[in-house]
Amino acid sequence: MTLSDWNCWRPVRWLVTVLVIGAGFAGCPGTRDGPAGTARDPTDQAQPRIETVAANSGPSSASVKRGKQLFDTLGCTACHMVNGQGGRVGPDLSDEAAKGHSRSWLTTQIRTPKANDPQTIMSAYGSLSDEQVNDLVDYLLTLSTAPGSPTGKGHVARPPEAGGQAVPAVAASVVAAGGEMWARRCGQCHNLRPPSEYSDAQWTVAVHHMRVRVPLTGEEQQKILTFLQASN
Amino acid sequence: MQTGRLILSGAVFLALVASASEAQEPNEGGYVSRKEYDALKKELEEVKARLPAQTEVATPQAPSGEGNGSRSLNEKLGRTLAIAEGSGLGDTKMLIAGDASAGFFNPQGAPSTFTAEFNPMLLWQLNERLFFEGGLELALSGPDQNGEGSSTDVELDSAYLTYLLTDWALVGAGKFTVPFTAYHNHLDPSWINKLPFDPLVYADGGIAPDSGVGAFLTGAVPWGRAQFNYAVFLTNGPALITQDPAGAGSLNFDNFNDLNNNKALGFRVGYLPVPELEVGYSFEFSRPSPDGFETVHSQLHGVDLNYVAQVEQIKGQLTARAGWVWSLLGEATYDPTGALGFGPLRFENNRNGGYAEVAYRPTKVAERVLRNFEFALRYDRLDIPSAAPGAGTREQWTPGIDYWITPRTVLKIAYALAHGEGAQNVFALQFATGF
Repeated sequence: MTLSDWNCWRPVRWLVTVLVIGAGFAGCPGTRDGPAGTARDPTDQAQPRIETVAANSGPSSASVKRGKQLFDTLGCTACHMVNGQGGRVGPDLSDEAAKGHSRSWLTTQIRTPKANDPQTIMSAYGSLSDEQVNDLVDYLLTLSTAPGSPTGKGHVARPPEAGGQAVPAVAASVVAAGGEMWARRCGQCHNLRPPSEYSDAQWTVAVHHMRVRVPLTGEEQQKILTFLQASN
Repeated sequence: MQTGRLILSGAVFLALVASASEAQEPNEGGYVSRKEYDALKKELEEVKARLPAQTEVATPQAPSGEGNGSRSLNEKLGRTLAIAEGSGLGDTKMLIAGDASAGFFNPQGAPSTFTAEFNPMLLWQLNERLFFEGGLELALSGPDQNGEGSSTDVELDSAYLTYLLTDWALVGAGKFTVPFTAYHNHLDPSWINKLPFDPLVYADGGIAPDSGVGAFLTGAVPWGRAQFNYAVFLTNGPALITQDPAGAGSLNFDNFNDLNNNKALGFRVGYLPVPELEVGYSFEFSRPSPDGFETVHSQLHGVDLNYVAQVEQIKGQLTARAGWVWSLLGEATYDPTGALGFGPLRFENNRNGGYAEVAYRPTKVAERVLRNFEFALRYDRLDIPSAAPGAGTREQWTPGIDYWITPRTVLKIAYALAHGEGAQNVFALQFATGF
């Protein structure tokens, strides 16, 4: 019996076909976070996040700035996208006011998200003070993607100002990166369970198991675990 | 010159005297004079002298009875602490995970039936590098043709130990899910599978291995923005069915004993150009023929694709999965003497089959209830060579609707439209959960 008898090349032709189809999928708009035709690099930090400066009416610019800092510190972008940057686990938060979400709805969503949606996987942030929640809500309500708005498309972004409250940028970015990896790598096969379902020790075991099964790299294991243990 | 030195010396002397006198006198600027210093020191020594006496007054000697009680309490506390420390959880961590399902299957022209499955897994991290997984498959088996013999099937699904070598490699040994294509390793638990059925190629009687006993090396390697993952495995391998007229020429992947001291060797390479997409190629080579039968080599090739993305244009999550397997065993004669009653039967034993599946879940629409629905459609097919038992092509189209009660609990309803020899349409309901 020879290799040609077994028609070995047929699978290879199929493999090439699958790879071509794969390349086609890779070109689909659904994989893009940026402009069509360019893959988004999760590590791309070149473009700073949009800094929101509130108009004088409504919330004070100081509270918005504090809300923005808190939003980054808590690693909200691990799950939520704002103006094209962030995770895809939760909804895009770029247009909360335009969606008709009121101040009280947002406050509930931060403190007790299951009160708004019993099925949500969002963690409750019940330990935040009233002032912190107000700052976050102020920040969220000033976000908009409408042209001409302070955070709209085409608005010139500027980096967060130095000074003020110290923001643990490294920790937040690590958590955010872990959240993004979790959403994409684990979400490739199954729905994502709420991080609160497991304790730190349980997540340690579960993520180790996934490293064996998927498999993940050691770095992916560590980053995903960091996110889950920070979010449970 | 001498006059100059004198003036300089005088100035230095005056400065020293001035600073010394400043130190001796009370000062409003916060400095302490020598007089104040001496007074404070004296006060401190007096306080120190009084302190022991006051301590003794504050803690009078306990009566002898209370002393015994205190000692007894301390002993009890010590014993309790020793017990607590001895029964502590230590550094190892365990987790019970797995899945369970209940189903109702109604094949056309055959009795309908309810089913139940429970597949618990014990996950045990012994330390940062050592990890154990042990899994069982518990399922109800139906009665035999005489209506008797209902029982619970218990199978050891997995029992293997792994050791992390580096960030990109780990080794394992035991009974494990064979990483031949992605389906069995990632996608077939009931709470992950979008439909109540396995594709024909991966189901019982299919042509792809599911688990094996042996050893493996696996890992993932980043490559710029892309990533590769790999797995190499060595198992006892499948067994070629030669005695059963209905299954002659098929591979029995539930065989876990080595028939002929020839191991199955295989690998899978996966490539993720972007995190949402993985394509893979798998290969397994073995000699599955039992001793006493002519030598048959088996080559299994498999390709697979898995794509999951949130697509803004369709306001939801799109899942596309596919896999195809070729089983190339070449020509052999089954029952060559005719002693088994179905031979001699000689045929070219090359089989192939696979599936393609798309699913859509409107995760980004405003209606909350609608977001919990997922719509799936699968096409699957299995080709058996014309002279082989069960020859022909079987095809299935299976549309299904899932309702996600929680992110890991789903109610599925599906209808399989089957074509081919002996094929049956099947209506199915399944309730599945992962834990």
